[in-house]
Amino acid sequence: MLEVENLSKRFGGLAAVSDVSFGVKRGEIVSLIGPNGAGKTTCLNLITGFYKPTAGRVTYDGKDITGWAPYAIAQGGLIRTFQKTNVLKGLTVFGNVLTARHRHGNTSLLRAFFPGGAQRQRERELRDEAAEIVDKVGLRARMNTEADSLSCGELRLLEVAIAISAGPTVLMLDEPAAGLNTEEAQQLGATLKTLVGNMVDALLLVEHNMALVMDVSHRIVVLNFGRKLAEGLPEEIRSNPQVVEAYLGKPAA
Amino acid sequence: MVFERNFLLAAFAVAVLVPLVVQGEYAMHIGVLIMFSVMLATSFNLIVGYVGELPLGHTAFLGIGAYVAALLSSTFGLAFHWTLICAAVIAAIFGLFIGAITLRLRGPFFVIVTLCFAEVLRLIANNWIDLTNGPMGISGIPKPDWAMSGDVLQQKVSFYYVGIGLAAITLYLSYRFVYSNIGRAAIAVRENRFVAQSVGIWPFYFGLVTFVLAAAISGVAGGYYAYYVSFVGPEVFGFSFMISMLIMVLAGGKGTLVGPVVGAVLVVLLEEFLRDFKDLRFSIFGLVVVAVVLFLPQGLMGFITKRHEAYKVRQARDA
Repeated sequence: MLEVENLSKRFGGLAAVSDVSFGVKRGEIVSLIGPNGAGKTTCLNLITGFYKPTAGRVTYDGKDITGWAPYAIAQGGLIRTFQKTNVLKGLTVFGNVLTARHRHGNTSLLRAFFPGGAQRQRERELRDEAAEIVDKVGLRARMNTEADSLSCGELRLLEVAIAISAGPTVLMLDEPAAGLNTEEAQQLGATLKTLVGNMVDALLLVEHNMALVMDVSHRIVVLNFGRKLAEGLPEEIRSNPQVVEAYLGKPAA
Repeated sequence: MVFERNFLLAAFAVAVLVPLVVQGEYAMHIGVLIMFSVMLATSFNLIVGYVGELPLGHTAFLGIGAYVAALLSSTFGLAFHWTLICAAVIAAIFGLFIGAITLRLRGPFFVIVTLCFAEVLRLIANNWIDLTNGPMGISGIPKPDWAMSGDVLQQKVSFYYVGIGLAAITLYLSYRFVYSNIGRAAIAVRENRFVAQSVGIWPFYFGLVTFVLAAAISGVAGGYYAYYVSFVGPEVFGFSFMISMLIMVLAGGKGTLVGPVVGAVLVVLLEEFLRDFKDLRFSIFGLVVVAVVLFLPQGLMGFITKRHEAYKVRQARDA
């Protein structure tokens, strides 16, 4: 569904991402891993339009979306979350999720001023759908709590809820397990597995938590210094000497 | 949401009933000023509170509305409702133009460039003598038909009720707007542009829609004002209107609909009440504003913003 071909991004003299290619197929969970500074988040920013690639192509569902504006890419169903938790701080949990359902609601100004019956009905449905999503990620008790009084783990869940609420076809999560303890991470892993096929068609995961990555991924892409180091099944990656070296360094001779 | 609606409905009822209790030309004059301020503050708040940018040149639209109403009524003899509609449309067109330029900027840059537009318009009004009569302004704007009959008091009462009507329309549209899917998108942009974009919201577009709506409301307020004082000069583009708008919105609570209403009532009443203190009044007024900013940074009604959307499980209704 999502194809990345020879993607490159230079910041002045620094090649943050160079010549990276990989794909995400329908029904797949693909993880993007690599040491800090390997270019994982930059890759995500390039795919979602927050950065413009220096070279290379991103195609989604056969369409070339390279260099599109972020909102246009999101409207196509490529929805992402952010590494640094990003939510609408001033709103309630419900407000956050409801707002994120934006592209499924009315966008005509006239109908906003003079809502007819169908319009009111749609708005009620939106609210119910949003509440259902809040429920599904396990934040029911926090429904009407302001987002800025949530705990770190709850914020991560809210972030996922926002992304799901936007109705993604391909969901891209940037370090969803950062700041979660082992148990919470396992829970998250279980949730992610149930997502694919139900609510999203494919999942691209950027993550440092190896237990989670090995548990959920169908395929893993490893980046190092902006280049693709390896790609394969979790078992292959685990035993790949180059990957082990990138993470742990060379054994003393 | 429900609180704001009920509050506004109650305020509407009170406003309609006030002339039965409080009478006199002076009271009605204050009432008219309050209605004008409510419109102005509501329109300003749409941008400050919901787009999250500070348009320091918002008087541009007030002035355009006032001049359009003045010119159309005195030159072409157009009726009150038509001139107000024209004022709204022309102010909206200017809003589209100015917004399309300024909304690409953020923070201080937005503030300065919007201010520039207002200043340019003030200079044009001052110097394009053929059209605007320069600093002399346009005087003798004909009274609307409904304000012709009766004595001065009755005329003021008519102006007051028309003001309530216009303010009610303003608040109805604003209410529908901010609690719609579009309003939520605007708020999302205010809260966090990145999240907004990541869920498919185009920040520029929703900023612009809000900006144009605010401009149209300001235009209507300007037209109403022009008819009431029956004189328009370049000072409608000036900074004093700007300052009162700013104080009303900040004191009342930006990002809420009831805030600017409360703010407008308070500021107008306070300004009148402090007349007793003569020269001291501006100092006292300034102190009050400082106190509000220090102790109630969210404004009097700011507590509502956090509860903008709440979900209640609907009870199964009895058949």
